[in-house]
Amino acid sequence: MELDFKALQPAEYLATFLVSPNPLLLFSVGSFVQEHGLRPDGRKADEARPVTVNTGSVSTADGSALVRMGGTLVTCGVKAELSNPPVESGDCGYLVCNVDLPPLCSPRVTPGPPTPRGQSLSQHLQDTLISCRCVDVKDLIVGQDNLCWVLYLDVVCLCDNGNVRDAVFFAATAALRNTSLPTVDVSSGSPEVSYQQRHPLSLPHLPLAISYSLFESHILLDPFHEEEELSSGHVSVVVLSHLKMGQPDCKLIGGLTKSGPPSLPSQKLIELVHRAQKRARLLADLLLTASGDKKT
Amino acid sequence: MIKAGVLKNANGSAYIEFGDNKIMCGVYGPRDVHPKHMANSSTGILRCRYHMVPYSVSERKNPAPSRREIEISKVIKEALEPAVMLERFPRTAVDVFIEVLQADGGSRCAALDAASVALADAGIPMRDMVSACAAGKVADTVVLDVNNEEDQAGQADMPIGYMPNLEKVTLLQLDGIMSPKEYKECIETGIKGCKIVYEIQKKALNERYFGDDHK
Repeated sequence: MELDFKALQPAEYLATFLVSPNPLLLFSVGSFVQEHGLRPDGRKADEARPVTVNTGSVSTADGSALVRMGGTLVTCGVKAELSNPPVESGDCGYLVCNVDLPPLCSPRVTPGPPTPRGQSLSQHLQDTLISCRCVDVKDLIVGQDNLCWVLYLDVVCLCDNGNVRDAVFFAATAALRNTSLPTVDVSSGSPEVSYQQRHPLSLPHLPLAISYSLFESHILLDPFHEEEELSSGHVSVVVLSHLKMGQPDCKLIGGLTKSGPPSLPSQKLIELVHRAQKRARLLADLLLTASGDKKT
Repeated sequence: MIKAGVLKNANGSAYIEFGDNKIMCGVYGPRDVHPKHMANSSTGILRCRYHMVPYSVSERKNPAPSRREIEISKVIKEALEPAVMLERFPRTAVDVFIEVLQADGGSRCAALDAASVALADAGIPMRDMVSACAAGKVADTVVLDVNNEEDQAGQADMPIGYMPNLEKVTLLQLDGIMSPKEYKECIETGIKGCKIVYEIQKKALNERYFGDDHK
């Protein structure tokens, strides 16, 4: 009976869970519905699913990570290759990001070229990493002799159970932190690469995305895929986390997108940004614990 | 090591670590065929996609499917078809998707092992499991399960896919040079390897459905 209702009227099914028990709050001026209702998986509107992260398990990559957010599973690998710097501005290297959503990840994906969704995720990740100087391409120069590193950051979604963007950013951040580059000795004329002696990347801060979906008048943190499909709008906040010294500092905002109806008052957006900073702090703590860098 | 039922979206799934190979497989089906003209009115169809992630090999691989991946996709599909009872599902498709996260020789065999477990995990009726293992010739000796280093320097590589209960071979390929005697020895060694893998495949399904962390 319940499953018939869910199949025939999915939006009403979701809304039934979220209805506030206090009808007066629905009409209060200048504020949206207080999120007292629960979602079909038992979460409150501002609760996220459990997150696990595992780094360094792929030995063919120079850095790797596997992230699970609820049922969503995303893996990321970084590979570094030597090349020549670009002709126009010869003092930097390259960062190439790619996000792949293969047909494995969802029954709705068919084999074929990258979809607009995958391409826009790739672009968002690339733009954020470059414009927020998370990876400084000037640091990727090797010696003085027209040699630089190309960093390929490939993210693959193995299971899309909603909120892939957050998982993609978290996996990319974890993989970059896990990355180490071989040492290149250019002193003797021809470059000698030592794969055993490695040094980590210089990463001043790293981006963490926190996304909400807008369903009717509700703002749902970390939507799972059915909520995402039924939602009309989305908000994503990118928080830059400074992960050194074992104490994460998550204050700077590296990006903010809001798309689709309903429109939100600016006060609400500011509140969402504050919540995102808190959530970023939790994710950063988790990453530090996973990589053994947490200050106890 | 094989673990079944690891992906929430796929109808059936399996993750395998075979030496340094790390491969994830998901199965969807039986489901509607799109485009419709590919559907077969008397039997279901099996489709397979083998794909390597760019960082799975020592030199970064372009994400676009290469000729080798398309060949392996075809080979794995043909190795599974004799085992899957497709005639029970006319006008539908069973899709097998394989993502290789880390490769170190013999990945098509490891992928086939994971695909069989994923098909069983999806509840798709099969005549038998398909167990695969490669044998080969390195330094004039017949050996079992050649890794990447051995494959580069070796003399022959023979992946074998085998149905252990029906005692039938569904995949057999050979790259390299062998005498008829070595060939016979190689097949026998390979089949022994397949039988060992079969026990691990059964264990994975047992743990998934009858184990302590039964979901």
